Amino acid sequence: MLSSVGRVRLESAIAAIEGGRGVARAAASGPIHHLLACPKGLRGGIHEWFGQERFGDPLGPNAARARHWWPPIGVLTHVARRAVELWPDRRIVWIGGRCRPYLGALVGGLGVPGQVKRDLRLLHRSIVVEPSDQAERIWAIDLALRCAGVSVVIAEGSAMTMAMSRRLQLSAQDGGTIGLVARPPWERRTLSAARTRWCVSPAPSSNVEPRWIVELLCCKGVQPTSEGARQCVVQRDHETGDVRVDAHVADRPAAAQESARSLQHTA
Amino acid sequence: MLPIDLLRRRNRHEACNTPHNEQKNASLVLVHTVHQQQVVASCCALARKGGVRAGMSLAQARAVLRPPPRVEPFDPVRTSTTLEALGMWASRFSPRVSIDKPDGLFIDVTGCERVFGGESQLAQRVLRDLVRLGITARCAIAPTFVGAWAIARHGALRCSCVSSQTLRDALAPLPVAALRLDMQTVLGLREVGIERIESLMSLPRSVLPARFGAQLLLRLDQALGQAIETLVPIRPVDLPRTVRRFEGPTSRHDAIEQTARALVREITKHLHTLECGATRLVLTLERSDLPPLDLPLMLSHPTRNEKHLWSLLRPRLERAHLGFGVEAMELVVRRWGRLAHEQTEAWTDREQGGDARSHDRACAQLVDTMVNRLGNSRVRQLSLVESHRPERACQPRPVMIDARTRPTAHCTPHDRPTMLLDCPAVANVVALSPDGPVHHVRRDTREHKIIQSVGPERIASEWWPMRQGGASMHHTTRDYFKVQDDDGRWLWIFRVCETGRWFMHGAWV
Repeated sequence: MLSSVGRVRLESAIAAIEGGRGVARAAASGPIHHLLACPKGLRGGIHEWFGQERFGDPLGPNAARARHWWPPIGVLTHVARRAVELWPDRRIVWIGGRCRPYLGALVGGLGVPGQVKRDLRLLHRSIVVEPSDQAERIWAIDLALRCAGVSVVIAEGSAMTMAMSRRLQLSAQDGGTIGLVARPPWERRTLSAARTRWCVSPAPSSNVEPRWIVELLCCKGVQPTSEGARQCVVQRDHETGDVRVDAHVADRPAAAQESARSLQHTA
Repeated sequence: MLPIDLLRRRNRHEACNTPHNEQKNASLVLVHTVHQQQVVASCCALARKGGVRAGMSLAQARAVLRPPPRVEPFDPVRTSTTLEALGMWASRFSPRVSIDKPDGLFIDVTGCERVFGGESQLAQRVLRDLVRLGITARCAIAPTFVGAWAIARHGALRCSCVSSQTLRDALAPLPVAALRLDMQTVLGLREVGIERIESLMSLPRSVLPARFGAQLLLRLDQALGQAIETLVPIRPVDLPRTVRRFEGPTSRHDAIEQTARALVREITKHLHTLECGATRLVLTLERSDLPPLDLPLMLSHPTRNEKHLWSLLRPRLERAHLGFGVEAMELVVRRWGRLAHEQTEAWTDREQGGDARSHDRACAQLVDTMVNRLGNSRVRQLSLVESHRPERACQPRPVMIDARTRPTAHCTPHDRPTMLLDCPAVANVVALSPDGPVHHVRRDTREHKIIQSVGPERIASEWWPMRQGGASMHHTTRDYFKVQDDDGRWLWIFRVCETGRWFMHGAWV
């Protein structure tokens, strides 16, 4: 049984041998593209995002599983930034102690030599809420999802039951907001009423920018597609802080050859 | 002395600011910048004893004081605001109180002294209450305002009462500056050898205006009660309030809720006539067997929405301890702000779902509701702080819905992780050499090889003393590395230069 990282590596290798097929072809179109380009389609529902386990814990494996994990802040921030561009009057609400972003997520254009002007829109439109327990957290998410002045709610959703997710889904439908719920990776088998479920895991990169494998696990009301179209490698853009489909994986010469070949077949 | 007292009140917890230590050690000097020069605005009694005066340059003050004084910036806005608040506070002694800037109060106690048992008792009580507030003061009661001003600021005693019979004798030994004259007139009088008021009073009145202007005689006459001096009293602001009294103590929740609802309705109508919205309200329950209970409401945006106010107040009221019953209820608006005029709209843009103002209002209501339940410290906005320390560079602050008030701090130009740990976690890191690059990181039982590393970026503590910092961790020099392990995770780890220990501080996730 291959892990997701191993599977991508293998597919990349096969794609390299075959001349750019495989993941590159899958990355050219799919739900991830739509998600990264415009998050309008996510309105009126909650979407679960499974993060990764935290690294370097001195505690034992069981203790680490109980407490330590990272939400996929990089991809969630990208969606939030697109939402700020689409609805500049509305706010972004971050709920939960784990969903507290830092400068790299909130400020665009950090670390770019010579660039003085930073993109602070997301920082100025963000509200951070830190409830003390789960009941307060669910109450706060519910309230924020129903608010007309909020466009995106990014919340921690660990140990969320089916009833809770159903309640939040109804709230998001009622308010027309986007609910992005980050969950720990070991809760993938938990039942949920979320409209879509995504998994984000780290991917090795050749440059200094982080890469992630974004995989669509489940999408309600949509016909299942091939496995290749449901996952994609994305990379953080150094200059803007946004996330885009990795150009190295979706290499254009290979895609051009593929399209040219299909055109020849048609002729 | 008022700015000095305010600073001492603010830093009361610091041991170095206690009067005992101050007398023993360093003096305190407040400075402000005038024409690119740091000038003394106020100083403590010890510095004054050492020869420092307001208006002196900081370099001169440092030259005359041994040991060197502790220098703090002067905050004129805070001083002025506090003086106005003190003026309101002093209205308990008389209905006519006027502010004498920069650090004085005039209280017209005519007819009020009998309430306090006489003039001397009144003066003693004013001083005692001010000392309780942590403010050093001098007090004088005289038949004229100029006379009281002169005796309070230039007299020998800290508290003195002068009658109309003894006023002339009390003023006679004081310097001419005690008549509130401008500096030019005082210097002119000093040139001709007139330094005390008795010398001035002995001169023929007809020769004074020609040489020193009409103000000198006017001040002298005002001091002696021969000319009228007018004061502008503080007008106490009439707070919007509504009160309901029950026939007897009641502990019925439905009656109390209904009354509170009626109070909210009345106060919103009152706010509507004032064209403003409340930002702070207090509902007071007067209980029969217990002290009054205050239920304060803090709002992030001015509002007069009855439904919203009631939704905030109702849970507070349900949790309130009523004792044996409530006798009266009072709702007061402590702070309010202007609300822009709103036109009634028949149609709204369905796609956008309203305009920016309606979104701001909805968001303000959300914040208020969350703050009401979770507390002010759990609903925050993040703001930039000009600091290289990663944990200080992004600080939470109270939510401000008004979009015009935005912080303008500069952001660090370096790449930073998307998440930061609240407290750095100890990491098991193996480096090839003590100062060399990271080779691998141990996790549980496995070893993860580091395949890429960027750094180090050295971040040291600020050189000036940190007031809040207590832990030694915050005063170390760190070398930060951005490393990638063989699974593709990018981590932000650092090595403490002093100890050589490794910590994980954040990640790009």
